[in-house]
Order: sequence, then structure tokens, then C-alpha cells
Amino acid sequence: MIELKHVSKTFVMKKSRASARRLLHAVQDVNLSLSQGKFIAVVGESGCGKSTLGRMVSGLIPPSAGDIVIDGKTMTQAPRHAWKKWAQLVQLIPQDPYAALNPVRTIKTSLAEPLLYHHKIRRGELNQRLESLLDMVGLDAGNVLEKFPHQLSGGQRQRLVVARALTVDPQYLVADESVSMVDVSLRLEILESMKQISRQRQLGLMFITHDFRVARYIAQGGEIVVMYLGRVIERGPTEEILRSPQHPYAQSLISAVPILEGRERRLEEIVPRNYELSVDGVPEHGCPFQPRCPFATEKCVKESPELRGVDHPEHLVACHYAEPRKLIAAAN
Amino acid sequence: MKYVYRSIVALVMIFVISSLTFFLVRLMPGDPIIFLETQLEQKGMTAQQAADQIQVMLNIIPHQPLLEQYREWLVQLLHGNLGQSIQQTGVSVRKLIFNALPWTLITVAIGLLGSYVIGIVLGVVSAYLRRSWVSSLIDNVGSVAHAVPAFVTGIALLYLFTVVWHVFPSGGAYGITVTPGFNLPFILSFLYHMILPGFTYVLTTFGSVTLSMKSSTITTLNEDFMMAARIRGLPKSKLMQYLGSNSILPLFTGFMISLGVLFSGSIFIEQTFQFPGIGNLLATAVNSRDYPVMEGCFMLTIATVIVANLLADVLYAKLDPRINV
Repeated sequence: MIELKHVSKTFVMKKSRASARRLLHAVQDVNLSLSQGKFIAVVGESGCGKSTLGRMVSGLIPPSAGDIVIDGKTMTQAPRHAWKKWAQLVQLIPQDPYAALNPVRTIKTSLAEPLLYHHKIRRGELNQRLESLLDMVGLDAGNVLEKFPHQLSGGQRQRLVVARALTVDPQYLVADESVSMVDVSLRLEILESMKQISRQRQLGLMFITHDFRVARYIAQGGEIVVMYLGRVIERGPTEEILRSPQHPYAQSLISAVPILEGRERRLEEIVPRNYELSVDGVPEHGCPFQPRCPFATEKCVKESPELRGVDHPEHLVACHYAEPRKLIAAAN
Repeated sequence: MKYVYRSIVALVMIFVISSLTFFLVRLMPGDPIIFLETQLEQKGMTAQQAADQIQVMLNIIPHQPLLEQYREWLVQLLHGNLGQSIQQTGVSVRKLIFNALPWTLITVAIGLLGSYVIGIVLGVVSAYLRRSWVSSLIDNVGSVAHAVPAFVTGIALLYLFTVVWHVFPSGGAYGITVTPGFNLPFILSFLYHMILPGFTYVLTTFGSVTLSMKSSTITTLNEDFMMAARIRGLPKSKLMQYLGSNSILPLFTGFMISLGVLFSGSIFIEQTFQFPGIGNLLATAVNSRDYPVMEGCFMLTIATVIVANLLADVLYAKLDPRINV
């Protein structure tokens, strides 16, 4: 199990020597747990800190505060063997499949290295292992192994970066916006194959996305975590969140999802007061969403809401005026 | 097939540019033939006698129309003949070039190799330590070394190491006591003589290599596939291999083009150190308006630059699979 305990990440923004240092709180006090076989979708708009969270979980950057505990052990990046261990446990699937493959190496060498290095596979077995791996993500080995990345399509590359993460044989996958660069027509297929692989191998999957539809699809039976400006503002079982979102931000995200005309109908639409997110305008005190919240009051400006439980035991919301709203219903 | 086509294009280019230089050098003021002619006439010869004399001496007919000269030059060229030097009467240009070429070739090859090795190492170090003072030190030293012209660096080194401290010889390619050939005293003497010019070459070129290596290393370091390799927990040696094979690519073309310099040498450096290479030969030829020698030197440079470019194109495609020539 991966546990995040009060994890924060603060970046120091330094424009020049003269200007004062400014701190950017990319992730603030996040608590999460992901066990093997479980699916979590982290949802939020650009700049909400979801990618930073993913990078911390996969060990790429250390948290500024808090601990990342995997199977009871607090993880560190140093010494080197500890980092290697981390890499074998958690694999991050990078966002951009066009940039994530080394352009001067064939697919085969790219995929073979972790197998040869981490698992001490003999060269004789290599081809067989690669074939079954590629088969799992829906690629034909004979077709791609000897090619270079630029000779493949976007969908093929996306599948390849998934396969490459699996070469390490991790227990957890962190997928950072994994289908956002792929044609819409291919997304479902790739998501489905990722789900299937994770289920088969009992992987814990943390899927980072800005798209509530993707979150809904990938985290069926799992958990949705909604982030806003580095903080978790609502989390809970996927179905519960979809049925009765309580934070106005989560509600506005769901309102932004197009509905299936004929199958669904919109009951209510929550729209933020403005669509622009300005990082400079992050309030020092109070609720981070308050400048855009349609329901904000004096209290929201002064007091920062804590994450607290609502009706469902696992449903947590950080809002002074949390109120379930039914936004979408099945059409009858 | 495409290589054959490209080679033909390269040959045509070499021919066209050589022809252009044929006319260009003759546009320079101060025709040595006319000078010689007046000299002979002042000695009491008639114009006809002087012309005959010149034709016997240099195989050149004075006041021949330029196009006629060009036709003559072409015919000679097809026979592999680059003509005779005007200054050193009777010596063929080919012989002059072949005498000068080895000095330049070896010196520049060592200098080029040195500057690329030093530049690449410093560039990578500077990229890795880009947030520390070491990086800005390397960058500044590189920029300054690159910005100071070769003749200034050369004269400074010459002054320091031959006048202030008598460490190195001030000129020539080998000592007077050794006999040129494949023997140890000669080789040692040559290496001893080429340290200063070679070092000057390194000093004036490593800076630009450092800076471009740094920027391309930083670009590669920030690539997603480097991050992906790190996530997979690959060993440092593998990561360096990834980094190297990608960040060295942009430098390759530059390196191939500087191979052209291999055959032309550096006029400034060779002049400063009285080094008997191609650069020196060319400089002397220009000063004395020795047309055939100038042409020979120019053709050599033209040919090497064009061939190096062709090679760069072909080899780059081998190094970078994304490029398809």
C-alpha cells in the first residue's frame, strides 16, 4: 500500500536575484492511500498540482514535507539502491508519448533495458517476454520492435509507454494524463487495456486527468480525488462523488462534462464566477476556491475549510457550505 | 542512387565555385605578370621579347584574354594539372600544396580533436552544474576564449612562451637538426613545434563547442525520455548513454564542417607561428598575387568543405534515425 501522509511540495520561484523569493505551494497537505488492485483518479484543472503529486508518488521529486510510505516503509530517494527499489515498485507513465521515447533507439532496445537490468532476463528469453508484453497492450511485436519511435502512430506510442512501464514489473502505476494526447477515437480502447492490465496484475493505479469523463471511466468502483490549487477539496468513492458531489468546484467540473443527450439530462449547472485561474490571485487565507466560487461568503474569505466527512463515511469535502447537488440524472 | 546524384551535384558545385574563384582572383589589383613584363622591358627588352621570356619562364602568355586563360586552365585541370607557381618559378602548385598539406592536416586534426573533446566534456559538466558557479565560470571562459581572435591569442601565446619564458620554438614545423621522415627525433621535434599552434587552435575553438554542447545537453536532460529512463531506475551509465547519443547530434554537423578547415588551415595561426602549412602558403600567395597557388589552395578548401558537407548529410542520417536523406 502507498500512503501519503501530509505530503506537501513547495517550489521556490525566483525571477531574479533582486526580486524576493516567492513560494508556490504546488501540493499542500495531501493524505491519500492506494492499495494494490485499487483505482484512483486524481482530477483537477491545469496547475492544480496533480502532476506534481504523481511525480512525488513515483519518486521523481522529493516532497517538501510529509512522508510517502510504501508497504510500511518510508521511502527516500537516496541511497541509490533505495531509489532503485522505489522505481521497481512504482512506475510513472509520462504524459506525452511523443517525447517520452528515446528517438535514436529502436523500440526493442528501449523495452529490453529494464528487463535485462532489473530482472536479469537472459537474452534468449527476451524476445518471448517482449512479445507477450506487447500483446498485452495490444501491439504486434513483429510490427514495432525493430522500428524507431518516429515511425509509430500516437496510439501505438501511447501503448508502448504503458508496455515500457510494465517492463519494470511494478506494483503501482501512476498515469499522468495518459490519453490526453491521443485521438478521442482511441482513448477508450487504451483506457480499457490499462484497466485490464491493472486488474490482471493486481496493480494499484493512480490516474491523473483533467477530464471528469476519463476519471469516471477509469475509477469505476474506485475513488475520485478532486484537487484544486494543490489541495484535495473533495474525495470519495467514484459513484458517490458522481451521485452527489458536494464541493462547488467538483460540481462545476461535472457540469462541464457534456452529457449524453437522450440517455442523461442535466438537472442543475454550477458555473464558477470566472473561468480564469490566476496563480497570482491565490488567496493567502480562506478557501482557495473562494474567488471563483458562486456561493462564497465572508466566512470563506476568512477561514480555510478543513477536509471533513459528510454523509457517506469515505466521502470527504473541504467546504464550509458543502451541499449535495444532483447535477445529472438518467433520462427517462 | 540518391548518393550518386548528390555526389554529382557536389562535383558540379566544386567546379562552379572553382571557376568563380578563377575569375575573382584575377580581379585583384596588381597583376604580377604585368609587373614582370615592365621589369623586363626596363632591362631593355622589346614587348615581344618580354612576352616570350615570360612564356618560357612561367608558361603564361601575357595579355591573353581572360576567357582564353580560363579555357587553358580548364584543359590543364582536366589533366590534373594545377599550374605553376609564379613566385617560385618552375615549381608546380601541386607540389607546393602536397608539401604544405601534412603539416596543416596533422596540426589541425589534433587541434580539432582536442577542442571537441575539451568542449564536449566542459559542456556536459556545465550543463550538469548549471545552477552552480562552476557553470558560469566555464561559460564565461568559453565565451571569452571564443571571442578573442586567433591571431591575438596566437601572439599572446607566442610572446609568453617564446619571449617571456623560452619554452617553445617561435616558428617552423621542426628543428634544423632533424631529418624529416619516419624517425623518432623528427616526430618529437614536430610535436614540440606544433604545440603552440595546436594549442592556439584549441583555445579559439573549444568555447563554441562548450556552449553548444551545454545547451544541447540541457535540452536533452529536460526531455521526457530522460525522465522516463530515470523512472525505470536504469543505471547511471545507461542514462549517460541516452544523454550522449542525443545531445551530441547537433554538434555533429558543425564538426563535419570544421573538417573543411583541416585542409585549409588557419591563415592567422600559421602566419603567427611561421608554420609551413596551407594557410601560410595561401597567405604568401595572396600577398604576391600568385594566382595559380591561390587557386590551388582555394580549390582544396572548396572541395573539402563540400565533401565534408556531403559526408555530414549522409552520416547524420545514420546517427539520427529521424532524418531521412
